[in-house]
Amino acid sequence: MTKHDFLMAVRAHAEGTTLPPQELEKMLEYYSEMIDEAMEEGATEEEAVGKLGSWSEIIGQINAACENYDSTQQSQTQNDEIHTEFKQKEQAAAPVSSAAASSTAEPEAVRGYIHMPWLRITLLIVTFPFWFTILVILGSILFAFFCVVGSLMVTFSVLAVALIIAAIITVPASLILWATNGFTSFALAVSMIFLMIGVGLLCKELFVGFIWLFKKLMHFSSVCFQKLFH
Amino acid sequence: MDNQMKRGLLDICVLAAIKNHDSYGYQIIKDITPYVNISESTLYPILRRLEAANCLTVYSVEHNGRLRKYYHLTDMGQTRLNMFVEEWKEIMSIYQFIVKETETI
Repeated sequence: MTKHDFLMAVRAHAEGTTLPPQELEKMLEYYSEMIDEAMEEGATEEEAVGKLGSWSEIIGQINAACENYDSTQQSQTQNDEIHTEFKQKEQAAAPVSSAAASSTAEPEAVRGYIHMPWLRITLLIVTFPFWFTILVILGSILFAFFCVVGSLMVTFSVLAVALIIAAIITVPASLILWATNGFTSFALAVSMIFLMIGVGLLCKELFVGFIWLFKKLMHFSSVCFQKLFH
Repeated sequence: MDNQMKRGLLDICVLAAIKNHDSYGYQIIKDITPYVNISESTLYPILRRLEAANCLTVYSVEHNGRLRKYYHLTDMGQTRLNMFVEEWKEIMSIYQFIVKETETI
């Protein structure tokens, strides 16, 4: 389950209950933060969502929050300026369900995932030539990186294997050289074997290094991809 | 551990986790987990409850292009922590008595 799907599922469930919208927004902010934190520590989106606890626990918590709501609200009104700051956000967040109120909300005060569908869609269409070009350029650069790293990976793996095989073959060849051409040729062949093994191992290490780079690149591009579609 | 007791203890654990410095949800879980098992969905109602009881306050700090909520211990929260420690001194002495009596049989 992706972060978006999870938050949508919580919202869908909560909308069938008496949970007030501002309480729901707080809950979504909390879970959104938790998923982000886990992902920053290297967890995948799936893992981060899976960590949150069982679905029944979360549903139970939504239901419990509905029951506790009255007492929570009373204490909120007594609370200090931090609460009023939150309240402003809530007020701005509240019209989310009613589409008509979007113009009265304060977009600056609202977090990124507060939806104003029409404004966003229009902006997206108007700025299309701009962001699409950038997207294509960035995509191409990323693709080029993949190609370079990928081909280097293949090159070094093949080189490593070839050198090791050549080294193995040179072993019997060196003995034959000893018999036919004498000791000097044999010594030369032995040094060749060591040289090939050495360079072969170096290529293997480079190959491993490029695999690592490739993985990093994969991770980076998947993160970019996810950010893009949020 | 029975659930009622665990619930009460978790509240205190959260207060203890933010005592010396303000902390955020993910860090609180990391700090508490070695001692009591706590999941993200367990922590949330605790935080809301403690906030409602004025034991902690919440403020947001920008982090990596998003907001991270920090929790700050209030005087009320501090009082509750102190009360817990005092109470448990008594409970520990009762515990010592129980252990002593059970072992001597």
